[in-house]
Amino acid sequence: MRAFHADPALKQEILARLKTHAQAGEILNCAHVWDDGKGGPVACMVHDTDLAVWQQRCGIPKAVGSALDLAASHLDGPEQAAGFAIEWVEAVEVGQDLRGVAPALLAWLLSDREHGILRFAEPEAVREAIGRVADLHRRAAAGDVAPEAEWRAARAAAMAATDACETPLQKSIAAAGEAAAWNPATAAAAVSDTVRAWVNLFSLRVPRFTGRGAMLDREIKEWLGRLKADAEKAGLPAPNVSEHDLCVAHPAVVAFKRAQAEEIKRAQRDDRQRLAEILLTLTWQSTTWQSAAPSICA
Amino acid sequence: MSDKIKHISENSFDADVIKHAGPVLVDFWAQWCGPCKAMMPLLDEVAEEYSGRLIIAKINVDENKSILGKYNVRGIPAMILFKGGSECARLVGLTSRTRFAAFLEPHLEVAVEAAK
Repeated sequence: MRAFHADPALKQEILARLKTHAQAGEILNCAHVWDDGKGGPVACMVHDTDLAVWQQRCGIPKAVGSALDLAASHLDGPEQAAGFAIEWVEAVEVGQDLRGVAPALLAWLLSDREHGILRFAEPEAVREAIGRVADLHRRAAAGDVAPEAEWRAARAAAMAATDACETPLQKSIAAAGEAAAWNPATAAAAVSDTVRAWVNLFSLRVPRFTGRGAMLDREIKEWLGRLKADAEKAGLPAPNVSEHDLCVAHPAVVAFKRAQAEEIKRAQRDDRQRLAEILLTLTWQSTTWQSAAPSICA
Repeated sequence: MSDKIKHISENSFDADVIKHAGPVLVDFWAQWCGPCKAMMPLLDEVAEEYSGRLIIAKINVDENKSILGKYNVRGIPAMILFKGGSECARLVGLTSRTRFAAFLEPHLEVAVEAAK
C-alpha cells in the first residue's frame, strides 16, 4: 500500500479539496462525520465516512484515517482541526508506506514512559496484559505482524485481566489495553477505541498539585481551630464548614482554585495537542523505518 | 458507510428482521447521537468481517419512534441481536471492538453450528 497510490497528482487533488473545505469552514473537529458538505478531515478528503473508501482512494491504511480524524476531533476547534489535517497531508510523502504508523501510535499510547497507559496500570496481571499488547504493536510497527492467533490470545488475556480488576479505575485502564489488542491493519476500530480510552484517562496524567502552600494551609488550619474553640465555648457541636464558607473567609482559596482549574485546562489542551503531534511525528518517522520500530515507541 | 449495512424502518422491520432466518443485528441510532456516530467505523468493519454470517441493520429512532417502545429501547446506541425473529442479546452504549466481538461471537458460533 503506497500513499496516494504513488501518484503526485492524486496528493495535490486531495490536498486541494481539503484546502477548499478548510477555506469554506467545512472541516469540523469531529471524527467520522460527513453531513451536508461538512465533516471530519477524512470525510472532507473523500466525501464519505467509510474508512474503506478512504483507504481505497488514498492508499493510506484505514487505521491511519481513523487516527487522523480522532486526533483532529480532540483539538480546540474546527480551525485547528483543519490546520492539522492539512499539515498532516502535506507531511505524507507520495508513495510512502504508512502501515507502521497505527501500530506505532498504539504502542506509544500504551507504553510511552511518560504518557502511556501502562505507567498507571495495576495489578500485575493488567501490566502484563497491556505490555503484551504493546509488544505486538511494536513488532507490527517494525513490519513483523504477529499471526491472528497471537492477537486473539493477547486479547483474551487482556479481557481476563480487565474482568479481574477490583476498582473502576483499574478496570478502565485495563479496558484501554484490551481495546488495543487487534492488528490495526484489519481492525481500524482498535485505534479509535484506544485513542478514546487514552483521552478519557487524562485524569491520570493531570499535573499533581502538592497543596495550597504552607502559609495558606496554616492560616486555614488556625481559622478552623478558632471556629471549633468558639463552638466548644458556646457548648455547640463542632461546626460543619462548607467549601463556600472556606472561600468566603479566605479569598486566597478562590484564587488558588482558579489557578488550579486554569492549569488543568492548559494541561488537557497540551495532552490532546500531543496526540496530534505524535501522529505527525510517527508519519515523518515512518519514512525512515527499516527493520526496527520507530524510536518514539521503543 | 459500508454498503453491507442495511437501512431499515418500522414498516420493513418484520420483513428485514423478524422474518429473517439468520442472525440480524439492529443498531438503534439517531443523527444527533455522538456515541452512535462513534460506533459507525466499528459497524462498518464488523459488517465487512461478518458478511454472509450476519446482517447489520440500522434504524433511525427519530424517524421510527414506535419501535422504541416495542423493543423497550431506553437509550442509544442500542444493538439488539435477533435470531429466528426473537431478541437473543442486547448491548447498550458505546463499546470497544473487543467487547463487541465478545458480545457477538458466541451467538454467531451457535448459529453456524445450528445451520450445519
